[in-house]
Amino acid sequence: MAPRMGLGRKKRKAPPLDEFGGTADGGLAIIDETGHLVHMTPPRIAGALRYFLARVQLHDAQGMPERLALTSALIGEGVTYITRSLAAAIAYDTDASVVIVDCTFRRPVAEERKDKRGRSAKSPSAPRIESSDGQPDGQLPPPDTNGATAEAPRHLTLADAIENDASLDDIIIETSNPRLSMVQAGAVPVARRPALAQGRPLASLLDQLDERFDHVLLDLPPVLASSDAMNLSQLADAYVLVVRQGSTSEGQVEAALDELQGGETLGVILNRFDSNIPRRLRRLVGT
Amino acid sequence: MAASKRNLPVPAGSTGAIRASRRTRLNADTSAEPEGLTRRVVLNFLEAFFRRPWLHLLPLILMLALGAASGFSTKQEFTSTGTITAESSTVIGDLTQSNNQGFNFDTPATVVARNINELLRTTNFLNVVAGKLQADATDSQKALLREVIAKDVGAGADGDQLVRISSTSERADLSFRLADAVIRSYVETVKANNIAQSDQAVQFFQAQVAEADTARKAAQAQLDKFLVDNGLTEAVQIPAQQQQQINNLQADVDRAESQYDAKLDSLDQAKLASNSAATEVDQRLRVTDPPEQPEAPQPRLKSAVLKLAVFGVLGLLLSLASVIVAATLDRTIRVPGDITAKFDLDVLAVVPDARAR
Repeated sequence: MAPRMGLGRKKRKAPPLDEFGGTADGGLAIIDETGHLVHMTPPRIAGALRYFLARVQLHDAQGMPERLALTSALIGEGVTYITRSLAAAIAYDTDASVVIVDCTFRRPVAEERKDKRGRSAKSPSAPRIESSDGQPDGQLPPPDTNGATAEAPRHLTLADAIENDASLDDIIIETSNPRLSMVQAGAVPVARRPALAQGRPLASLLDQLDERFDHVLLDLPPVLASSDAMNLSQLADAYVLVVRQGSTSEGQVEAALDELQGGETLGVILNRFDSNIPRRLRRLVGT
Repeated sequence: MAASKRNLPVPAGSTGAIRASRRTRLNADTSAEPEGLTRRVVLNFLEAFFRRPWLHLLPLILMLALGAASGFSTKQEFTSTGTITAESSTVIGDLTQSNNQGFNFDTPATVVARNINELLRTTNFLNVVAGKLQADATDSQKALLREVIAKDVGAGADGDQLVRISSTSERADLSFRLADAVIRSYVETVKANNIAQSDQAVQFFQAQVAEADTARKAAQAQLDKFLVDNGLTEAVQIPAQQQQQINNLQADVDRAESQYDAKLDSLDQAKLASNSAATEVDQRLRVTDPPEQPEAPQPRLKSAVLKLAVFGVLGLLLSLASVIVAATLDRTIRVPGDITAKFDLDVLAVVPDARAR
């Protein structure tokens, strides 16, 4: 299978993939039904997440939760990347079906343009809040951007299903791996998000997804950047906090955990770990 | 069409049951026991160091450079050393019973070395030394010389009896003259002090003897007067009452005689000590090795290496401090142990940076 690259991304030679999106060296890819490469997980990262899976399945009495939320304290810690990589690993390595539900709603285009005009009038270089996958742009595939641009408008979204009664079948995006599906968040005005996150339609929709899939992975917005994460995390059986090494402070992690107090913590995934200590010394210290 | 749900082994209990028991530790290998704490601290320090190794090594490098510059750029120095043998007792001291020099627990060498170093902090002694170096020195020259002497000369004990007086200077002749002047001045000062003390003792006992002599003579005169007044000079039979008075007066005379003799003995001792004071000091403090003018400067390599080592240790401490400060100020999560120790949460996976080596 020769996957096509996502929109607006530099095309690269993709590694040969098997029919489920795996590479010979252990890497994992998510390719949508149109053949676009949505996400690529390098072998090292896939290996780390396989360790996560084995650990949760072997050591935890309940195994992998049916509905697992992944969130972080701050923007750019790699929640989307980890969610997609974890989903790819579950779908590829086990016979369980999994769906990624992107819960990071975009702002409607009109609202965003209006806001952009306002900001550019004040300061042209004002920072934009946008989702990030936490891993570098320079790796094999085009990094995903929370589904905002790469897999754009062909599919209806979670927002459509909640607000416009779109059917579940219409919002589910199939991938090359029949056990892996995706649901995009869609655009919702900021003011309506709290109601949506706490509303019955979303819970009902997730219940329907539960019935169809073995695991539902919720890709949540950062806890300290949005109040949505607190409400959305209550919809999951457990949550995992993604922490980017050398970026998130202990205080921020503590604040995020305080915000998520109502939910059950499965643990932490330390993302983008890069030790500066020479390997020999690391071995000597015993890490 | 989405894949249909498979019949995987479903955990017993409802979602609520899962929630109730989720927060259990999955693995115990990341617990925060003291050993883990030590490892975490070490790892954080290492991370802090290897993040910016050159920055943390900079103090060490700078201090080493400073030490090398300081060690190898010093001017050549000459050292002249003289040795004094200090005795705790002397033959004369034994004979005159004046061997009490205060060497109770300290060795003679320690006492003398300490005494010299103490004297080198007194203006009077420094003036004496300065006078030996330059007899016609003006006050300002003496002040300058005092500074040089106090800075360049020192004494130290070498064993129980040897005292080494060393002088280090940029000029060979000056170092020799300094050491020589200090040794001579010290011996002369001790000698002068001894003689002065002995003379004072002689004067004191002379006054005491004079007093005792007067008292003795007065007692004798009283006895003679009593005998004459009572016509008892040639009497054979003395009445009992008068005999009692004569006995009392004779006892006064005897007491005064004995006090006089004692004072006279002390005066003799003091005179003997006074006469032998200079010789006794010569016996107690002997200049075994007089200082000589050094022919070659001190080898600089040793002092340079020593300076380099001192600066190196200082640099190392500064580097260590910078690492500790960097690690302490960095409150971000650096190692998995930070999470387990601080939040008692499991680190389920450590996902490497794709750009990492």
